[in-house]
Amino acid sequence: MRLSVSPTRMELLRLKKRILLAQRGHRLLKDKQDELIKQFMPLVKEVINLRKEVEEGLKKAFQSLVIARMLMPLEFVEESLMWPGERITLEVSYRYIVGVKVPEYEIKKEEDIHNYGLVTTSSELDVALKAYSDLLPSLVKLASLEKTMELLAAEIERTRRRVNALEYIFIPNLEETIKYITMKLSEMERADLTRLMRIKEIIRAH
Amino acid sequence: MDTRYAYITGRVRALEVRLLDKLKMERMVAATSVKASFSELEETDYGSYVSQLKDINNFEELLHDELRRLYFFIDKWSLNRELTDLFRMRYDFHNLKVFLKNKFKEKPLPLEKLPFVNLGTVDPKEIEKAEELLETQKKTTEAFEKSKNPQDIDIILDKEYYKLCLGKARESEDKFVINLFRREIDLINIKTFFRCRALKRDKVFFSKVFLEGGCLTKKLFLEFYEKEENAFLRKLSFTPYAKVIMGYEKEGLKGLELSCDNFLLEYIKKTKLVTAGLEVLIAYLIAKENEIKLLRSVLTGKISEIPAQMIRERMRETFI
Repeated sequence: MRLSVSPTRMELLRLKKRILLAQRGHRLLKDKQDELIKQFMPLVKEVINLRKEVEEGLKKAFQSLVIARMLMPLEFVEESLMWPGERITLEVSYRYIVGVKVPEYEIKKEEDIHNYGLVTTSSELDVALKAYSDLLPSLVKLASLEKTMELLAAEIERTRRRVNALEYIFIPNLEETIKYITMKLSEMERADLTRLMRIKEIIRAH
Repeated sequence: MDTRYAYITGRVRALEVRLLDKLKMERMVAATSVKASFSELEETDYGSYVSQLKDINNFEELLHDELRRLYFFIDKWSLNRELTDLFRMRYDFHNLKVFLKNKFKEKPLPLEKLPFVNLGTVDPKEIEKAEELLETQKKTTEAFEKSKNPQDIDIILDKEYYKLCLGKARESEDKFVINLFRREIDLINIKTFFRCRALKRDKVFFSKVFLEGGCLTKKLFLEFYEKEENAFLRKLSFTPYAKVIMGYEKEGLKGLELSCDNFLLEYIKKTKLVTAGLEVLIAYLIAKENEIKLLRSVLTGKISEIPAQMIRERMRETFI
């Protein structure tokens, strides 16, 4: 679609400068998009594998907890777990991937998770809690990677929209407008020339 | 023979044959669905209670009611309540643990939200005022205030419970009950020994959780605590607990817990030869508790869709 501008030489020069800038921007954004995709693809694979691992681990941990529940009355399990022994601190830091600010979680564990009496509890409860405790760092890592993936995906989408806008709308519009102005100016030039030639002919006839 | 128990022994003998046997349990485990397991249970003495159950997920209520009926029966016929009450007092100690842990927590919960078990000798909400537990409560509170470790509440109360059990059993001079508690203490100590090692706890911790009063001494356990496992297993194989050790050698802690429960059941099975006496009543109490424990295992496993093989691996023996 042609831009609504007056077909002047000044406008043509301005548009030529704009198209150069748009092409440079397009090239840069295209590079950014390529780099984002390059970072995104291995991340997706990592997330898929880690999620599989975590889901498998959670399934096993849950099964261990059910087995502990099979051997202990519900109230005894609740009593054993009513005062958690392990203290967990989660620290969040940020890093940049191709200009995208992504979070990184770090988990710190203090004290022991097995913080209950051993007489009224089953060793299956130890197994279940250990399974959950061992799984927690992977779960936190998965959260961090999935958030990174989400942010990268949003950025890729945004960049792609910009690249497409430049490639299919903005630059073609500018090109069309430039073409229009060039043709308009040539047309004006030809009109002037014809007019001059006609005047010259009239003068010569007198 | 204690002829005062002649009538109740006869009655218990009649009740014993109605306990669920291994075959019934196996049928419940092998059932294709939870519904089928409950249908199997409906064919037993639990039938009328199962049909009243609105939601099968609340089967714990059914087990609690059965335990309540059992304790009522025992209380009615026991001529030595001091001894038989000890089995119910484990719930008092549990309630005291819950109460104290909640009391010392930063944000205590209202009493009605706490996991109390209403099967003890004292109303759970009045546990703080229970006279027979005042001294224990004081001792536990002092220990907690010193260490600020909630695990100490569990450790001290467990020790106090078994000290009380053994004390009362010795007072009554009932050999069956004394030996029962001594065996139970030994089995707990053996399990604790292996669990502490698996959890990588040091000798000091084991020494702290060790229950006194069993046949196996603390010195024996401490001597082998930091040594190779096989040396301890060899040592125990010359004690009455050789069978228990075989369970551990076969399947680790899981096998040990199973063989410990079976060992105690083997011990109470000896009462089948007793003509009349309190031990018959106590054996029935333990057998019924064991049955309820088994039902809990099977039903929880079935509801949570645990493979039948895994449930079977954890199935204890039955009394009949």
